[in-house]
Amino acid sequence: MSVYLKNVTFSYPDIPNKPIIAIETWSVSKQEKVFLHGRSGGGKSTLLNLISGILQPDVGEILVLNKNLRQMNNAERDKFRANHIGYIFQQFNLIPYLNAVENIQLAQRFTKDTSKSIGELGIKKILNTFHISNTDSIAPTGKLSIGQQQRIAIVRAMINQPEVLIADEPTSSLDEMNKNIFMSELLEMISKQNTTLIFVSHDLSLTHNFDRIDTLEEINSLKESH
Amino acid sequence: MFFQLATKSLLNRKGSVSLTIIAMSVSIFVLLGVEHIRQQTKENFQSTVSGVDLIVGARTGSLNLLLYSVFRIGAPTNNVGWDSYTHVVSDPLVKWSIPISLGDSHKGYRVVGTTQGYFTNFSYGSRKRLEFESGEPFSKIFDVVLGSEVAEKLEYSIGANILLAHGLGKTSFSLHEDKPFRVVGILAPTGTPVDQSLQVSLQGMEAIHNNQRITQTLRETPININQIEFKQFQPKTITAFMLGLTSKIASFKVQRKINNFSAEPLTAILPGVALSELWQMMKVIENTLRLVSVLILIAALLGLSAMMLASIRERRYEIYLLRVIGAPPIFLFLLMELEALLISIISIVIGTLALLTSLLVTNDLLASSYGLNINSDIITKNNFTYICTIMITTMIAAAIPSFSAYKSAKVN
Repeated sequence: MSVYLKNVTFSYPDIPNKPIIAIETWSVSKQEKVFLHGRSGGGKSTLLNLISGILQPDVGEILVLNKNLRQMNNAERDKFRANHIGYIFQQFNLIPYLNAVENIQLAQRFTKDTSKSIGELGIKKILNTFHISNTDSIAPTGKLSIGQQQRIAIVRAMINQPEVLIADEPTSSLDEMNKNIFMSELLEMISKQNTTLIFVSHDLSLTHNFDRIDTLEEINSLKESH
Repeated sequence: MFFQLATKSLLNRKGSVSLTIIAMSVSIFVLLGVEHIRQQTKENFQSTVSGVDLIVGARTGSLNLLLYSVFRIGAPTNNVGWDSYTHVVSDPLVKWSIPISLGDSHKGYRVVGTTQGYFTNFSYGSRKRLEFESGEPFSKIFDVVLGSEVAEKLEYSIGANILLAHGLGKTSFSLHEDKPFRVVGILAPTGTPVDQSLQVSLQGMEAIHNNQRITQTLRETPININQIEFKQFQPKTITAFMLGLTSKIASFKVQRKINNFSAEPLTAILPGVALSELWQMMKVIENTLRLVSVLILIAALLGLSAMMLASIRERRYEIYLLRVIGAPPIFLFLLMELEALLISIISIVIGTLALLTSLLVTNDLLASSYGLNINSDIITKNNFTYICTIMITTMIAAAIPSFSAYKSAKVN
């Protein structure tokens, strides 16, 4: 099992009596590609933050790669995330004043497995396969197009060969052409590295790329209250 | 990578970071400048005279006597009679004496009437004697020995003829035009008011102030003006005199004797004690200056802290992204601290260079206008301590935004 949640409840500190997440059980198998959708503000991003260990549930168990995140201290969770979980957002995937190579090197910095580290030339080669030229590789990423930034984000998320990749509406700011390029490159990378994918999106036209389609309202036992 | 991230992050916020650096550089410039000038002034004052056991002048306050006799600042209240001087120095406890007579000037530089003993007995710094760069002490009435700065600035050399003026202004309408003095010696630099003085004999001073007598003398003995003998122009009064005693223990005894001298009201002071009084008086000004410069630095540091705190809001995605890729909160705390430290180091470099340039540019002005020889060697132990303190306080000031970044990273 890649991800397993049991009796997980989470509420934000400013509204402690109103949980946004209350999941009895939910799991994702190894190498499975799950498409998760739901209404805006329903708690999808919160769920992804819980899985990646950025947020801690009020109660319940979250197991990622059979490791209980609650049993780890903060530093261990940070290390675990750096080594095993990749993350792609809708935007702000990169530090805008660093170039693509530096952004990717920064992601490598926090992994404990230095054998996975790839040098500048290697990173440029990978970026080339994602249609990012050497010139664009060394330009501040803030100056690149959104499509280019999202493709670099895939490389940045996958550079440490994570077992789990979380993608939070990564195609919503892309046009049709860039969306297709992004999806094909992402899925190719996923299959090459045998990565588990949890993909959140409102775009149901993408569902054919996935093994399973879940809605948050189905897995969240608070669905009636919303 | 950590350093690169901090540097690029600062470069990404050039506007606000530049303003913070300017504010901090100015405050560091003021702080180090005040401290350096304060220290140099103190050293200058302390090194101006050494080995003098007593300074004697007409009845006045000890500070006034010290200032006009040694530092050539201010004016004497009265003169000392020559007879009183000869009486005091005839005391067997007196080893040597240097009479001085002030009041004239040359192009803004003070003229000191004295004896040849000035060149053998006067010492400065750590008992250093006056040395001649060229020439020799005066031996004739109209000979003059120049301080190093006078010779350099006015481009005088041995043999030059100069006119002395009555009073102390740079431009005088009362020149002693009929009695030019000939430069016979130029002293080596001392870093004291001696450099800005012209030394003539007491008799020369007396002669230019007594037209009638000199005309009469020349009429009686029609000889060259340089052949007039010293004894023909024995001064009636002098401004003050310095004494070297046979033993330090004798200082109080001789001082008491002079202060109780019945023929003329005199004041004898111990230079060290008077200097301490001067520092005591200056301490209030010193501390005020220090306080102002520290307050300026605090204001700049608060500005830095506010700028960094404001940047956290605009960097929230960056912080979140760093957390997502595995950066621990402590990394964010240290990143902010490093950014603050870089700002502080750049400010220190700019502030120090600006101070160094200012000192090099204003060195001459300070020396000629205030008699302060401020060297540009600003990397002193004291300033190094200040620099370290600035860096530490910067990190303390940055702790608030750094902790805020740390906290926001944890909450995210």
